[in-house]
Amino acid sequence: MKRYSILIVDDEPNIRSSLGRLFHKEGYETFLAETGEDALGILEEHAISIVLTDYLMPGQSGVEFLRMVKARYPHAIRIVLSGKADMESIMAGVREGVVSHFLLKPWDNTVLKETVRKAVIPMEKKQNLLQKCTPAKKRYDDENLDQAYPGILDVNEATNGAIIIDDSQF
Amino acid sequence: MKTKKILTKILVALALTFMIPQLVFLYMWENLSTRSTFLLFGSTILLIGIGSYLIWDIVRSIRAVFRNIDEITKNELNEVVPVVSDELGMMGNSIEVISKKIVENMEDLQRSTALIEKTKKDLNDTLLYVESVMNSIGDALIVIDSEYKIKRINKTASALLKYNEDDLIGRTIDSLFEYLDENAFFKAEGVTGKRMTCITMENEKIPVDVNIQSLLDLIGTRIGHVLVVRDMRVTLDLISRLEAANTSLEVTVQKRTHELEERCQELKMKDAQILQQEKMASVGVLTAGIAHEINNPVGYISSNMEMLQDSLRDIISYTQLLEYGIDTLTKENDAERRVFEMNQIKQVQARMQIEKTFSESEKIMKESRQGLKRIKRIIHDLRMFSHSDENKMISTDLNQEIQNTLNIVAHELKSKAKLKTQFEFVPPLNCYPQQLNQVFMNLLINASHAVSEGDEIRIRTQYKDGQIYITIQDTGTGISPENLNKIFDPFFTTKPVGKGTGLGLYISYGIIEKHKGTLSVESTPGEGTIFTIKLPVAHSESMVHPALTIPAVR
Repeated sequence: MKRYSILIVDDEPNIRSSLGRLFHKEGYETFLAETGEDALGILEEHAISIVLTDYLMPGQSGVEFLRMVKARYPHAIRIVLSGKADMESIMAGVREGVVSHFLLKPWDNTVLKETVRKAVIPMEKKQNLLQKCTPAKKRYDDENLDQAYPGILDVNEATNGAIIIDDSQF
Repeated sequence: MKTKKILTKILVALALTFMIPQLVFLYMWENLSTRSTFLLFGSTILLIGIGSYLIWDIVRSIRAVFRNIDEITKNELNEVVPVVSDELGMMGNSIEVISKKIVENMEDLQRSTALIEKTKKDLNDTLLYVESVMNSIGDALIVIDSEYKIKRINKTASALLKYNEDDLIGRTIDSLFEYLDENAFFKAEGVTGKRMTCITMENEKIPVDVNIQSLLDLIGTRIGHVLVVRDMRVTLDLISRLEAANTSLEVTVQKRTHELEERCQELKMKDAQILQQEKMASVGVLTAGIAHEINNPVGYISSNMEMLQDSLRDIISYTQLLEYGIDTLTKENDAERRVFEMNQIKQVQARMQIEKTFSESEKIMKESRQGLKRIKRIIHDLRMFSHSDENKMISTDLNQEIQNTLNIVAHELKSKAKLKTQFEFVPPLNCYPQQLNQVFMNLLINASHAVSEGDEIRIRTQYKDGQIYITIQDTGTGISPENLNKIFDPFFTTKPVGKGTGLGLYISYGIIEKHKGTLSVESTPGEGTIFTIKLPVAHSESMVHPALTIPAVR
């Protein structure tokens, strides 16, 4: 099984170590950052599959940070984990596709792990499928696929090699 | 004398006309010559002429006298012609004097007549005037003589009593009233406003107010009375209606008063509710911040507990492994087997990485304890801030209270601006710390809403001249002059709907006022705002009860 990498951003050290411990134990490669700035530095050096960030941080909000992440690393899954949130800003982030998931603190380990796992597998599959498409046939890359079909969670491969988006999930 | 004169005249005239010419003619007739005849004839003619003149003169005088008399009879007295100065002339003059006297008397008479005429006219005018005045009076006017007989009435009286004027004149006054107090007529000062009942010709009884005044003649003898009778029907009707209205008004007023009291009570309750709501609203603002503060430790503690449970499971397995090992090794006597078992156990032990579990667990415990400590501190701060168990005046260190408030709102502030505090010595203040904390919190949260990245919020306490000064200053957006006048008004807010109640500063103002202090503000748009709280230390003894009173609008 491939080892996914997760970047945890929170200004609270005990949160970072707790989440780090959790995902380390799950077999993820974990990276910890105190600020969005630090996190962007880590993103530059490592291929990160999942970014898990607090919302309320000194400097910039989690949504603002994720907007930058999306611009630079559109493949990364972007999750906000926050106890206090400006709901309007979060919902705007969700609508824009900047925030893929939003979870509340205090969190439930099982739910958090499940959310991450369920997000990461289809992403992997989607990317694999898109890679297989010949450039001529390719109408979407994964970035504009999200925009054309916002909210898609899963994709499948048809026998002829086409990508199937299951409508029933909407 | 006068008679002699005219007699002489007559005699001379007769002599001249008849006697002398006759004598001359007789004497001369004998020795008459022609010349002397002519002379004689001529002188005779002359004498006749003179005699005739004298007679004519007499006749003339008599005529003049007669003419004068005639004039007098014709009343043309001014035309009297002066007559010559003989007897007739004297007579004429006497007549003239008489006539002049007559003229004078007649003038006197004429003047008297004119005066009489004028007086008569004046009297008539006065009578008319009095009559019209009498008739124009809205009250009935009845004049009676000393025998109580009606002498005069005005139109109102006949209209009121429904009698013709002529029918009333001469009647005695008591037939017109139901009961007439005769004593009233003997009072020198008269009677004013006496309520009586008069009876009309149609036997209708009319309530009236009567004024009675004596009527005196010039020397002060009472010659009658004047009665002024006022119809009281309309007035009495009005009075009864007024009384009814009064009664219903009284009832209405009582009802309204009761309603007002109720409304007042309601309002008081509303005031209390508003105060409570505002407090809850500020608590609401805080809750989100505090929730985050608590959510973080709760989040990692609960996550850590699960990890710890896993660790515990590992440790249990490890203990079981050790038990199994000890068991096996004590039972196994074969040396080769023992070595084999030992290796097996060591392999499992190595795989379990129990050291790592131990160290991890210790870390987890340490972090979790930190988290619990923080939750405890937050709860402690909250309790310190709210003083929820004390709604009474206590001696309080305001620096400590501000610090407590800061602990609560710190999270709200720190994500935005830099916080600078300068606490100088302030003496303990007898106050309601919970309420003052509410003020500090309102001001700090307002400041946090005004600032953005890089701004500062400065809090300073000072004590001078028996006053505690607390300034909360921010370098944020500031308040425009037109809003600055309104910020202490209830329900004034510049925050979006749902974000502010518009009561925070209004209530803060009231709380500071209740502590006999002042809350003032200075602000420059673009540069920031300073709120200054001034609290007198001495007056804190005589403070009002903290009953929820809303301050008067500034």
